[in-house]
Amino acid sequence: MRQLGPYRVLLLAWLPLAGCQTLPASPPEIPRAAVERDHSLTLIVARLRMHLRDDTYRLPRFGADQGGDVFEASLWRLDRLQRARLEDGVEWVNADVVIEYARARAMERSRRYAGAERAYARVVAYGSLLSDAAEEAGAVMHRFAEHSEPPAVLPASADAELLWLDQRVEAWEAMAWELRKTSYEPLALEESEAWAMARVEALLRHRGIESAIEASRLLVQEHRSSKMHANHLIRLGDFYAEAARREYLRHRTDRRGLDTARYDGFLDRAFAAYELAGEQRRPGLSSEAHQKIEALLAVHQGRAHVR
Amino acid sequence: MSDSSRDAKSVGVWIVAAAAVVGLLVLLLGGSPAAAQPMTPEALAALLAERAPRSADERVHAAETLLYEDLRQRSRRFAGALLDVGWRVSNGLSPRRALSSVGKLVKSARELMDGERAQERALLVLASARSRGETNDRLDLLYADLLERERERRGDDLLELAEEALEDGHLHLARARAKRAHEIAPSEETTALLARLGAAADAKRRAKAASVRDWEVSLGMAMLLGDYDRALALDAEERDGSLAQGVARYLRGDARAGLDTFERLAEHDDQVGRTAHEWLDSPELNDSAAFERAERSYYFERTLGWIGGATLAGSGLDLSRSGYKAWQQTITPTNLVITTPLRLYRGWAPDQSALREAARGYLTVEPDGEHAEDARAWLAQLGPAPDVMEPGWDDGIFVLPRARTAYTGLTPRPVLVAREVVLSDDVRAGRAARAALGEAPALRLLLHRGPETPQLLPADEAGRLLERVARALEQRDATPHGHSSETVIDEIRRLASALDGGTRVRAEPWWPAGMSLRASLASTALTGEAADLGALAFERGQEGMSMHRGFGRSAYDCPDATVCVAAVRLFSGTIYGEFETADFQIGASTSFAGASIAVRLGQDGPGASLVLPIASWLHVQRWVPLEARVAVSLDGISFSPNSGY
Repeated sequence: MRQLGPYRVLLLAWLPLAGCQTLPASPPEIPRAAVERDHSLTLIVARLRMHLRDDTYRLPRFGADQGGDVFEASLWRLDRLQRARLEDGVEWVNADVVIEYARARAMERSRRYAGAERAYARVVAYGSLLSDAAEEAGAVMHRFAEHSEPPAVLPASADAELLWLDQRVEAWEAMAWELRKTSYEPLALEESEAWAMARVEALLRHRGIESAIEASRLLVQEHRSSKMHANHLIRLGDFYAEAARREYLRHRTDRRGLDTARYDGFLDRAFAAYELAGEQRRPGLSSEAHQKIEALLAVHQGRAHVR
Repeated sequence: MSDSSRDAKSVGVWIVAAAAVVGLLVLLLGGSPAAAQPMTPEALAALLAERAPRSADERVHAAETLLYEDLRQRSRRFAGALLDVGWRVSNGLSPRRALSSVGKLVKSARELMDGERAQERALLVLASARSRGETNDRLDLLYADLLERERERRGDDLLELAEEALEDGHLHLARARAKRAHEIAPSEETTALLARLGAAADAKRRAKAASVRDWEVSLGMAMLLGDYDRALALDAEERDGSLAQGVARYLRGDARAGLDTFERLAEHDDQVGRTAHEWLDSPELNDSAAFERAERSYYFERTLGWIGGATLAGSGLDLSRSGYKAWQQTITPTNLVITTPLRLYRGWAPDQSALREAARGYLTVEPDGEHAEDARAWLAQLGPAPDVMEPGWDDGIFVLPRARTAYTGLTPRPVLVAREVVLSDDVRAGRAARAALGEAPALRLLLHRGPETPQLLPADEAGRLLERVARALEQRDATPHGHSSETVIDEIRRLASALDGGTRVRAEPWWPAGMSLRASLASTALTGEAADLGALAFERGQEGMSMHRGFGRSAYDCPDATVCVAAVRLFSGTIYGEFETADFQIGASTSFAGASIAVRLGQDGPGASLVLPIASWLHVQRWVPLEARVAVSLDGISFSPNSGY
């Protein structure tokens, strides 16, 4: 290594003393257009349109077997697309109207009626080829939203609550009849079924197990075509099993003879309800029904020994 | 000493010399020596206790002292680092340590140029005086200088952060920082950055506008309005456009054309392809796929059913415990040798409703489709759906049927008492019971709840009848049939308890139901369930089958959910045959007055046994249930007492 001169040494020593100036950064690239063909507006609308005609009352929503819901997924993607387009305060153009209308349809199928009504109203306000259809759909959503609102005043008594639930069920049944053979009928039937289920639970709370059993039996009868038919049967079986349990408990606490015929009657009907549920072609529910049968058998055998 | 080490040494010496010069310069150019002198404790205490605010000059002095001290310490650290490097290089110490020293040198060099913290503290010292108006020219000058430096530094920092945010694509953040940098310390750099940010925002806006292509708007509107003809008339580009038009074809009524589009698009593995694939696999959307799936499933179930019956057909393909058990029950000699051929002969078939429904659905949508012929052939073969009422429904009214789950209810089971027992001297049934019996072979006694009927027995007569039947069983004047003696006696006890509790007992005549020998044998062979045909009983096990023909016993089988009491025959017996894969035997047994004798012939040769009920003959069986057994075979003769347990 050749000898370093003193000046070079000083230079070496002083170099670290030189200020570190921030070098100006090179101009950044213009952000690439985030056009995701994988979730384009066309793809979202195509998926949505394909399933708008599905009978969601009789069949599970598409994608439910994998834990999804085509309408919720479509709504989420549309929301993201809308947010990405509007974050810079860009004014609405026709594309945004299409997005909003699609959102309204997705919300409608997801049973978010108030949100759908508002979305339709925005489409109408903008004015486009979609306005007429949006106005018509918005009117239906307005009625749906009205029927879905909670009571203005909370019911003060059991009778008031049951009356309100009865009225709600009747309103939805009337709506379903009025909208029969339209694309809104399945939604109205789903709502009527949901409120009937709520009524069953209210009867259990306020009127006892036997009222709940009767209401549950009617629910099974009136919603025979529903995708939730097996669920209703299992719930009916649960009620009968509970009735048998209460019969047994009454015997244990009252120290009187167990009404074995009554007990066996409840038990038999519980088993029968579970068996009918297990015969339906719904793998998860079929398994649940069989497990309930096994569990009830085990409980019953335990009671038989303890008597 | 080699040339290289000599060179290294000389470099090290020069570095040390440079450090010494730097240190000397710092000392020479340093401030007041007094500032470097440590304060005495008394002075410190006085300073701390000082209450009077400092004057402007004092504050200037304090600020300058802060700045000087900070510079001095930074210079010391740098000089020290420089010395360290020189020392390590000149002594030829390990490269790793030399490198570490260089790192410290670089760090101290950067700190040498960074007086930010001291300047901030000095600013605070001066600012408090300015806020009270206690200022002079020196203070104002120093304050302005420090403030300017602070602004420049903050501006530079913000500018740097804005550049970083821009590189990361966070335009909002970059703009906010750039604006603030421009407000604090406007410069050409901040102006240029703001201009670039404006251009970038415009470009992004244009890009976002392009995220929805022009043709998508028209296509989207047409699809959402259900105007499929218009959707198909549009010039939709790219794969997602083709998918949407496939949907339009499908929904317009041309399902086949739509599915063809999906099949073409499904060849690629992108979101469009996966969506198309999902639809092709969906039985609700694709009747052709639904029919193919139902057909395939039917073939599988039928083949498994031939091998292992309904259990294997239902669970054979499951990777689960129930699937394993199904195969375990299938791979047995009895099943493979006897039952499987029987199923094949009888043409066992699984549930046909799914295939029938799928075939009909397919023909509805595609009457001339690819699988139309197969679908029609299946419908012809399967025939119309059997007219079976769906369980639980009676003309639209839902009524739960009886449960099929086997369980023992808490209600006492009915007791079926044979005619001979009812009319025997031991039991001596009352008038009402005899009237109810009539000409029937047996009398059925069960609890009654409900309105009065002529079949109700008077409570006292019912009680006596139950008591006597139980005693007859205990004394072996009657024999249980279908269950053990203890079980039958327990059921009689429960009936009697219910009677004591006020429940009435009903007596009904009972007639046995008929069943054909062939059906019983076939049922046992196919399902494995034991079948009793009066005196003839069949049973199928894992390894074989057995048949028993009794004589001198009851001519009927005990019904389900019932316990039975039969008369004791003075003379009764059984002829039996047992067939197993590894063995067979035939034999006969007979009993008289409690003693029994049995003979048999099997693969291991002939044999006989004799059982003498010693305790019964001595009438001490209630305390000592003792029997004597004698067995004779080719192996010899054996004697043994048997406690009966």
